[in-house]
Amino acid sequence: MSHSKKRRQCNCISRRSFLRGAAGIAITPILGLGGLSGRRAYAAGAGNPGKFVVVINMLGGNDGLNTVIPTHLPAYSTRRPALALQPVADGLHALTGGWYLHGNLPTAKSLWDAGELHIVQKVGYPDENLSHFTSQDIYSFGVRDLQANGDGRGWLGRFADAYCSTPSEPLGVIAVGVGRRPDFEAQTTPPLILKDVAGFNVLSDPLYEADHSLRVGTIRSVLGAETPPIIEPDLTIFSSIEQAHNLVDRVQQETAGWVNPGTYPGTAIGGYLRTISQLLHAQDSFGTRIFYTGFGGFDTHATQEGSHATLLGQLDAALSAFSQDMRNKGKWEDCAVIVISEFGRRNAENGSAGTDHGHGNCFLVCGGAVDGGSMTGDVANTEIADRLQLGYTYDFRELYSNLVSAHIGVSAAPLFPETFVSTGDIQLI
Amino acid sequence: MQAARGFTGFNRLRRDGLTYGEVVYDKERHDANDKTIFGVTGKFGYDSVSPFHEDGETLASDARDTGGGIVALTLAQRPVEASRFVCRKLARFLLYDEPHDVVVDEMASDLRAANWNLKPVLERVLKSKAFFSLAARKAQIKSPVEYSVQILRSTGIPLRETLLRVTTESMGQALLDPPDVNGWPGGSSWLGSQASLARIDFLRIVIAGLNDVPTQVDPLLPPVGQRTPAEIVDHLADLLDVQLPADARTSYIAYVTQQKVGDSIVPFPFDPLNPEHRRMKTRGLLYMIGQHHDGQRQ
Repeated sequence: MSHSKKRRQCNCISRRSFLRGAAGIAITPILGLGGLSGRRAYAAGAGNPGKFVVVINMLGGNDGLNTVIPTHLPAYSTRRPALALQPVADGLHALTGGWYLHGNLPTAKSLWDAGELHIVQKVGYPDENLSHFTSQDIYSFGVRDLQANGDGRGWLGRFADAYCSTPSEPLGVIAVGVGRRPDFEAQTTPPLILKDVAGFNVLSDPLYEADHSLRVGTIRSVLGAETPPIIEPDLTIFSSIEQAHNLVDRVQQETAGWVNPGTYPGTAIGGYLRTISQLLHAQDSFGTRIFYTGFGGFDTHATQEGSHATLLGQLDAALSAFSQDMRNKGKWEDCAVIVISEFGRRNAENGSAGTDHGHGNCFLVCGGAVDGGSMTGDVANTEIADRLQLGYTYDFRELYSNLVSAHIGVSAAPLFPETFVSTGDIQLI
Repeated sequence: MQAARGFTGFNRLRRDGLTYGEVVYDKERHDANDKTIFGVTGKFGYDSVSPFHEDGETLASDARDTGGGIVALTLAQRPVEASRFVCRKLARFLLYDEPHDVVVDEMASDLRAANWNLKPVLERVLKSKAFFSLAARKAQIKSPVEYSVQILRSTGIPLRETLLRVTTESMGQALLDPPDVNGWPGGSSWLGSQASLARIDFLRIVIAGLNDVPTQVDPLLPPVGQRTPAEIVDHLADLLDVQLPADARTSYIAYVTQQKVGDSIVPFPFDPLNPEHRRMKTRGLLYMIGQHHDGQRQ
């Protein structure tokens, strides 16, 4: 049985808004090109100011059954004689009614206890597909039948087109470190991809650093003085180059005041969440509403135990640093993190002490505003005993839609052109 | 499905365990039974590679017996649309990104009149006013591959293959991996701040390889004795096929005799006889000229 904690309301002035009022930070575009103004408020009142979503993609198909573990179901141990985890022996963390979290997820456990972690069981999409590429495509495009219902854009691209185009917010959706092309196909406002802030720059000529600075200065003064072309394709090309310089400037300048808390682990996902923290320093200006990141290695076909444990530990350590960082900055209530994967894995272990591709999977959602300490959906013993893999109950698009409408506060209608079954049971916020 | 049976027998050349790009036809693997395609029953074999006769003679009579017949039969279903489809692609490739319907229709009717023989159509286009018009000049946005390869070929600067793959991908064109079977949409889809940044960064990577003055830098410059800043700028712009507007040209010429000291720009006593000077300023000019908007068009 699930129980939910009452969401804590805080009506006090946040430290951030106090500082903003006290010392209005005016950013003048360094090029004086007059393109994008430094300060912006969330476009014309659409959406809840400051709210953002972070999507973390566990690439490869995370083994949900060994992440959120049904120790109370006998079939779990019978079908996984070697891989099944036990509460005491494996240091698992108690959730509710026999469900436990993997031992390397202590942060997730404390978020659960604080009512800030929600788990959804058996998330997927209709008509399973066990191919990494196809399944990842489905998640990126947000469409099951691409031939019939695709429009060429990823769901992030549709979000950016719908909500980050007027006024133009090229930083409205940002992918950090990972991402597949479909994630970024859009019509007017492609999401931005960057590895880290330092690298998102007009990088120098190592042999002639000073001269490089002169080169860039010359280019920019030429760009600033040149009358934009009238005819196409010249005009589009010119604007594109001008925007690139502007963008690079904006990102460098407006994140310059960020102080590294020094707590983020040195793993890939640790670095990506740290970069997201850095970008959030300029959120008032960038208006970023969705960050997309992830890391790979979850395709655990063989000798899964150690590698899976390591990966979950990496995720947990990164979440620990990130959640604390956000709390310190008064942004934890604004934040909703959703941890996804392109499919779950088989109920039974295989002959190589691993698991093979499955379908339905558990997704974790955490954040200050999340309606947590509870689980949506359940798994019966027969589902593990009698089936190859768990099926799906909740379409992933229902989860995304719920976060977009209830947390970010805009309509999810433009995001998924294909009709999907919505159960109405998903209430993450 | 039936048509696919008609095309059986073709495969890539395999020899000594390696697969090559050449296409070969193996009669043994061909499905020689009857097939019904668009209501016509026949063998639809594939005895010759070219399905159409040189002189444009129609194949209606032996369409049932040759695989080329499948192509002819398919085109015969919707000849107007099919010819327009092919010609629009040709026009986009040869002329400009948004070919006028009038131009496409003319090409299409030429193609049908020539019984799908492309030669007369191509001949007409290549001799046409449209081909030489101002509208067709530099009217296409270079794809990442075109942009990169042109720079590498004109400068002769070496680049690791793996780097080329990575850079074109960050510009939006993952080699051999288009978004779908339609290929890349091209045109303005190549642009955007991200892609532009990637193009600028490509130049950074390229000039990083421009190290050896006698073998690499000097061949890019005008002859000794003709190396004033203006002559160098004009020569490099020509090399990269970039037409610089007057103001840009003036600024780049000025750059050659400038240097940055701290935050200030002070005079730089550029000496064309000094190899270090030549290397520094050539790298700089390639970087600046290469990313100019005129350099993105062809």
